[in-house]
Amino acid sequence: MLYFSLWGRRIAMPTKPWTSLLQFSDGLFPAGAYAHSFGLEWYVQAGIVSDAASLEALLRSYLEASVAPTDARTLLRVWTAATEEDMDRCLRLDAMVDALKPAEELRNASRQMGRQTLRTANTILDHPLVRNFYGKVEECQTPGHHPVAMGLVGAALAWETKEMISAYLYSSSAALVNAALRLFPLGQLAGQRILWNLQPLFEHLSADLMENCEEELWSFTPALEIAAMRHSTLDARLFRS
Amino acid sequence: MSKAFLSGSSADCSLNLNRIGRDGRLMLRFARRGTRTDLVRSGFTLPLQVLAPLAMEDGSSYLSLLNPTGGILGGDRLSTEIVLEPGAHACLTTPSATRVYRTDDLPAMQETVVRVGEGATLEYFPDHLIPHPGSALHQSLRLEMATGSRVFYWEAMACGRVAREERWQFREVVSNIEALVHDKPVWLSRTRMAPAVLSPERLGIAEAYAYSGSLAVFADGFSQWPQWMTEMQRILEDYPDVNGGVSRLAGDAGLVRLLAGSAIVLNHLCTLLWTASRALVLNLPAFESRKY
Repeated sequence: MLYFSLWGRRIAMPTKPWTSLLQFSDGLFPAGAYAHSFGLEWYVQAGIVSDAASLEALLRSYLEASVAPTDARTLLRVWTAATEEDMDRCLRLDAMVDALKPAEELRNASRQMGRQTLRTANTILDHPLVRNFYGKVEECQTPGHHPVAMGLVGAALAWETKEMISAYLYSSSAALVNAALRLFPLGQLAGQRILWNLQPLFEHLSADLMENCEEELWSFTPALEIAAMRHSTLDARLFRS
Repeated sequence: MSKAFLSGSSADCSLNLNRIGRDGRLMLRFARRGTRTDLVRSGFTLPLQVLAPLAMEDGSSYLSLLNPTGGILGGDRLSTEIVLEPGAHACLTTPSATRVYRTDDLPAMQETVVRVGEGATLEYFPDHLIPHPGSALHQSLRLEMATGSRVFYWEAMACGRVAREERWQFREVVSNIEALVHDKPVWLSRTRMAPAVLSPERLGIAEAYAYSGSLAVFADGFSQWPQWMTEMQRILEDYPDVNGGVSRLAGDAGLVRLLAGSAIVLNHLCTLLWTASRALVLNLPAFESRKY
């Protein structure tokens, strides 16, 4: 067993941090991503996304102009703050993510997934960092957004940062492809082809984030945000966002 | 017209003779005086300027913010500070769209800080930005709001000079908005647009729309947010060619985000949304001003 020191404690960690990263990034992990389409359902009902090409185009914008510069960058910052045992910085980043998500459904989706991630992590890890933060979320002292939760768990389990970012980008994309499979006749093979096509983008974005880690958080996907806002007005919905 | 102290001066001359651009400053301070609001302090250096304030029947002070050079140049550093003392009510607009001109060097910088005191109200409706080909703008707005304050804020931009069929030919627009109520962030908007790097015409971004706009309403202690959302959505339903959405923000605040094909439609919608928000939040009729 390997050990590392965090928050003044000698912590035992899995010999392969990346297998725990796989577990937390897997579609099987009960974060609740399956309940959300992150605005995709509105695009499908509007007839704008109806095939593999339009889905991949939307996913690329989502990754490049929203997930990578906001969520993945937050993930990396929280990982760093938690590794430096700076809980106040983690809380500030959580509040910042809350204010950075203008669409209520997207904000709630991120909160729900973060809470579920922390609840599961708290159950299986029994780690002081996760327990402390989860307690604050349960007491409504902090929203507990998903990238913040993943950054905390990543620090607790000593995930390698570039792998962690790539896995986050992948799982965000897989969640949307999974939603698409239920929203229109896409087909498993077409879904896998899209994820395969995105692999170079995951690599490029995670390398860019590592290189420019001091850059500010930002996003620019007004149409996706509007889709998430309009989603709540749809007559019939499969997803919560 | 209210009697207010107004002062102005010529532009600051930069000590660095090699630097292109001007340093413009504008400072406004509004205070409640009985049933009306007065502009109690005002100072500016060109290219920023203000017209004399108008005392409105609803007790607010109306002021038009000018840039007599007609736009912002690369290297310009414009700084605005607006303070509303407790209970004051001010309405700020611009007479026309703000053009951002081509630059081969430094971006234009525009920084605005607004402090809204307890129970004060600010309605801030600048016209849209028009970034010219090759232009670069970095702008920031910091809104600090106290207990019971209300802010109605509109921001909009065009993808370029649409009549000339120029779309997304500017170099970059970086825009940061930070809205805090009791020091807690309720809305952070950090936008980076560099069309040569990431095309805004892509699906999920601005798509084929030439104009984008947002109306943010902050009303600490306001309880009728569901009604506000319903009313905003009802207005948007009459404009099927506009892609618009309504959402609550993180605190006592709401946001309407719009993508439109025409400035006329966008500005018309802005007026409708502003008027409806004004009626619900302030219980006041439509703001009447003749800009042109």
